[in-house]
Amino acid sequence: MQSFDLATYYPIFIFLVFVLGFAVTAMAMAHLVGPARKTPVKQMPYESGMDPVGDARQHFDVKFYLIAILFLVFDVELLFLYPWAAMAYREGNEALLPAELRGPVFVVVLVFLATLAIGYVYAWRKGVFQWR
Amino acid sequence: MFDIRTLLVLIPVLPLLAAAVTGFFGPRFLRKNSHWPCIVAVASSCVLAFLVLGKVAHAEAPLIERYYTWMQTGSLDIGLTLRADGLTALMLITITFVGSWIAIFAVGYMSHEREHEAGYARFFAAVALFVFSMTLLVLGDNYLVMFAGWEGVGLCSYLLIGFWFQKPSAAAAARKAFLVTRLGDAGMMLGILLLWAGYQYAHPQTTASGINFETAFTWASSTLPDDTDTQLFFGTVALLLLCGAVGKSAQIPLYVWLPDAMEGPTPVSALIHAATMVTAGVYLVARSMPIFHAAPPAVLLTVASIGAATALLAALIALTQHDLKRVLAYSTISQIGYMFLALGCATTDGLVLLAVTAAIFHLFTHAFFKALLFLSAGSVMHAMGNVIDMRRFSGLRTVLPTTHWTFLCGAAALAGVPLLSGFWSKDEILGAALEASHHAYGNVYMVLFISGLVTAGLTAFYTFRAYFLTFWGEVKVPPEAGHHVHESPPVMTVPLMVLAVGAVGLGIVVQPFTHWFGHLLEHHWLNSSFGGTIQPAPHGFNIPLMAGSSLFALGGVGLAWLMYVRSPALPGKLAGTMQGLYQLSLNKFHVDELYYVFFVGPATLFAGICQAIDFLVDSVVDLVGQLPGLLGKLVRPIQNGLVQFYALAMILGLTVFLSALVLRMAK
Amino acid sequence: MNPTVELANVYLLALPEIVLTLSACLLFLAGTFRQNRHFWAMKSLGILGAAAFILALPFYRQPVDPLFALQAPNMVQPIVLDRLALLLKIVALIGGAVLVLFSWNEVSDDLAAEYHACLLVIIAGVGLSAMANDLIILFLALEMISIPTYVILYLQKTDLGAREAAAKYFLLSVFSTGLLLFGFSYLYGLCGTTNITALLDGLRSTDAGRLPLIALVALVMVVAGLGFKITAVPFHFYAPDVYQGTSLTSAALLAFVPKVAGFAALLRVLDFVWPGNRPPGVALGTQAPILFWILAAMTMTVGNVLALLQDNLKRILAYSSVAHAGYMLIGLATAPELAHQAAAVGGGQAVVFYLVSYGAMTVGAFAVLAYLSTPQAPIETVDDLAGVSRSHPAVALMMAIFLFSLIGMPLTAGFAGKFFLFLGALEVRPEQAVLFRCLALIAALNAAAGAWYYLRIIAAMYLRTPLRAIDKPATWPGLAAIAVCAAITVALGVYPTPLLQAAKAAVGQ
Repeated sequence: MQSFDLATYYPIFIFLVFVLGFAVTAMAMAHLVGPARKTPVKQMPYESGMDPVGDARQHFDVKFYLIAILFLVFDVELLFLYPWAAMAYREGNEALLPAELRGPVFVVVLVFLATLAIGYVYAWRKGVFQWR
Repeated sequence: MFDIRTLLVLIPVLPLLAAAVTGFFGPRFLRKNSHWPCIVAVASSCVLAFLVLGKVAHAEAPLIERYYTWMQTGSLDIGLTLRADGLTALMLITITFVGSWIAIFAVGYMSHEREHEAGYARFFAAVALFVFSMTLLVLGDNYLVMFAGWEGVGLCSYLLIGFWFQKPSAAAAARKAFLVTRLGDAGMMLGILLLWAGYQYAHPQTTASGINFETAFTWASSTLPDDTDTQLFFGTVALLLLCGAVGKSAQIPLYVWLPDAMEGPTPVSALIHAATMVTAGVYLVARSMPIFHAAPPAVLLTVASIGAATALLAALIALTQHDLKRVLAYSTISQIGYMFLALGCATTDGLVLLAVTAAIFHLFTHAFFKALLFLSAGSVMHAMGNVIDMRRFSGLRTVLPTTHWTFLCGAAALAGVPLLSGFWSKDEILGAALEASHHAYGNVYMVLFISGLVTAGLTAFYTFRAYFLTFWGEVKVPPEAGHHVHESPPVMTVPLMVLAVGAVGLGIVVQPFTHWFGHLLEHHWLNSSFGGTIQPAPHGFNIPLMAGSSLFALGGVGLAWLMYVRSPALPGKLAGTMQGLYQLSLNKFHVDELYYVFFVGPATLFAGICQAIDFLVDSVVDLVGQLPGLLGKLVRPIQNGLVQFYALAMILGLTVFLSALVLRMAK
Repeated sequence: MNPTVELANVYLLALPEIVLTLSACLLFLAGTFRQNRHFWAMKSLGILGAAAFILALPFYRQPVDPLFALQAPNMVQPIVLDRLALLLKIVALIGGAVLVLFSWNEVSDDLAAEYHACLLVIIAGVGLSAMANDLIILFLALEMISIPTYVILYLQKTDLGAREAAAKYFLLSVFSTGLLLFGFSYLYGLCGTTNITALLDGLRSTDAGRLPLIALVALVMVVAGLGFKITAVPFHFYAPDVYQGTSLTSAALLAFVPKVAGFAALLRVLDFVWPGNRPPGVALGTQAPILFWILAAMTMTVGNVLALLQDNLKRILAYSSVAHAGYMLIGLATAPELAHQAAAVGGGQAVVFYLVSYGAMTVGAFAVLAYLSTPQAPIETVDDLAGVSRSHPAVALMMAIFLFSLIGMPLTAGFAGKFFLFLGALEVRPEQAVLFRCLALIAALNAAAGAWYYLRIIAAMYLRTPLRAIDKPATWPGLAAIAVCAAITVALGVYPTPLLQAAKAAVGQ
């Protein structure tokens, strides 16, 4: 069992510093360089394109949720596919999956994709993408 | 003609087939002929029952036939096994013989139902099913088969008592009968299970099943006198079995269903009160006698006390009832009490045969004369346009001559008029009680004996009170009877006459001089059940006892004659002077009301409390639901408050279990 | 062994479930093209038949070996096809077919395909949960039952009450799932494996009676999580509300399917399954008979007492399902005691037997109600059944059979089931005898009290005049569902031995 050594995580720290630095720099540059004309529209709170006037608890069309869920499904799909693609075919010492299991796991991934495809077609046929 | 295997299975199966045929084809195809399958099947079963009796009388050991394995796993092995021995054969004959005549009588009695063909078919299907259940009950060779028949009897009684379901009282009575007897059945089931488990525990290596009669009785009769643990075990089993018997046979404290069961058609009352249902409890105790005998003597004393107390109480209630059928119903309870009294006397090896013979003999004669009385009452009812209140008719002996004579035969037999069948069997019971007073708990048995003697007098009195009120005095006919009151048709009177002959003559033929009855029970049943430890009963007559009981019986008859024929004003005066007692008896000692207060009341209360808690919880939940509503300006309630509460309850339950576990671990 | 072959073997064991699930996917898709309830019901019957055929295939040449235990006694195998799994899979398939028949005319044409697809997934879930030998597979299988159930609850009826029922069920089910997962995570943390066999072996190896406290906490959590599925008090609250709000088919589904899966999971996780090669040992379930004692006594009493007050048939049947769960819990309470004394009828065995009997009679009763209901005149209260015996004599007779079986009349499945459970309670050896005799007494009194509310229904059917005419036209699928249930109810009462012995082989002794 290896003992825990924080030092091995240094790339993450570099990455963090880089991300923070980029965000701060970008915001600072926008403030400093950009022109600042305060029109009433620009003064309004930003709500993703919705009009921020009136009661906050208004009804949203259920279509938003359907689209959002469909998006999430494919988002999660990628989330699964990416590590599999990155890991499954490593060779030698780095191999995480026995070579004999590559085939079955590939089939499993295909089944997974097919399931999602079926769900997609189902949603399509049910008219989820028709806005009205 | 038949081998015993076919014979035994045919006896219950024929009525079952009849029930199925009538049930399925009756309303559509048989219509007004729906009675035929039932009558033919029950009568054939009766013939077969006599054949069985013949086989049993020639057999050395009980005839046991296993048909198939009902349930089997591990050491549990319960077969659908039927047996024939002396007791079974006698019960079978009682059931099927009396049952056949009742069914024939019902053809005439239910004639107005023939217009509603569905009802007519339903009636005979249920009667056939009833006979099936009852024959299965007495034929079963283990407690589970017996229990199946037992519950079947309860079910059929439910169907039959509630036959006229248009009357709310009939539906209520049917439910009462079913539920009250089921309360007893719960105890009986526990007793059966306990017996099995106890046998399993005492005989770890066994493959035999403790609820088989042979196995259980062999075990019970081999119990050593100083083995108190086993005796206590059998005591528990016996008391649990007694619960079932008390429920089915309408004894104290579960007798309340029987008088209400009068709501059914009269042939049903005859069937339930004479040949079948109520005798099941007596049969159960008689059949389990080795277990009761192995139990501490206090258990048998309990049986006897319950019997004597029921006999006395029911007789007292019967004194003042105005409804002819109710008088008979209470007299049934009282007579069954007699049989329990007899069974409870089997405290020593020498008394077993005496006691059991007396009980079964009385069961046998009672079946005849009580069926006769009920059917005669039915005949009266039929003629009077369904009026049964004795205050509304009188002097019917000229109007209904045949019914009058048959009722008189039945009444005399029930009253114990010397030389009639009731006299002999009642005498045997009193003799057994007297004999028991020389052994354990002698003083108590002496008291029971005296109360039995008093009951005998009361019985004679109320029976003849009913007889005189109905058939003597001036002719009075209620308007419901119509213009031309007439004697019932032959289809009704012939069964009456046949049963009357049985009620008068059978008693003297089968036991007191010939001892066929005792012989059959001893050699073909008790000997094998007890492993030969019982001693033969002494033959001979106890002349002083017979004289005494005759005196009581005739005294009761005479008193009734004095009060209701000679000077009819007397009862009113008497009732006036003894107002309190009269009212108490008229109101059945308020037992129904007591039950209401003590049992129905708490149940309702409990249900009410639950409802109140429910309401409280709902209110709290509503309040919780209101809280977000009050804060609704800021946060809209998105969830139903109830769900939160449900989740809370789940968590609370979880917490309780967790803390209990932790505490137990810590200890 | 070659991992590929091994994996393939594992998949082969679940072939019927795979077929069911794939077909369900196709049904979802194809349902958007064709909308006809007869067509889809017929198809799903065919699919269930195919699954049954696949299940039976390996035993065609080679009859079932009486000591057929774990098919490959491999520690890491995540699913096993032992006799318990086999029995429950058969039960699930038959139950699924009955439910398809039952809901044949209860679903609308446009939702039929989705409904039946969900049903197929649920049946697959039951099969899988019966086979699961791994906490994760078990959890997934239970979710395969739960999630389509939520959908079905929403699909069939969309009035306010039904939506409330669906929301309630969803929220509380998710909540109970959380408890279950929490318990599972403790078990994993304790033993470092999710494989149930390995996990139980790990627990068995600890000193008897000295299980770590964490294990007991996990036990309580698992029981609480699964207690929701089997409607044990105090996790039963949802049952009456949800049954009442939702459609009769969904209510029947809820009354039967989660109980099968829940008891199967309890039997497995608590180590009440001892087929052949695993002697009864000291593991989770053996530590807490008293827990089940209390649960059983509470569950049956609360169920029966509250049922006394109800007028709504669905609520009565809901509380009745709670009460019957209580009877079944007796089996779990007695199982560890009976295992050590070679009892005739083991606790787990009685539970399995009762599950089947209970399923037949309860689904049958719901099927009768559905058969007599029309959208205009639903059968809601006891009064609605008044006089049914005259308008529908055959259906009334079968309803009477179901109700008498629920009461526990001899020669019905209900009697046999109760008999075995109570027998077990009385058979417990003397050290614990008093405790369990009390339980048997409580159960017997409950059974006697329970007769009251069932008898009310029978009395309404037979002893009352109809308040309104029930003129539902006869439909054969509904009748077939009722007839199958009635046949099972009577057959198990008259000849319980085959199922009883199958149940014995399933859980071992």
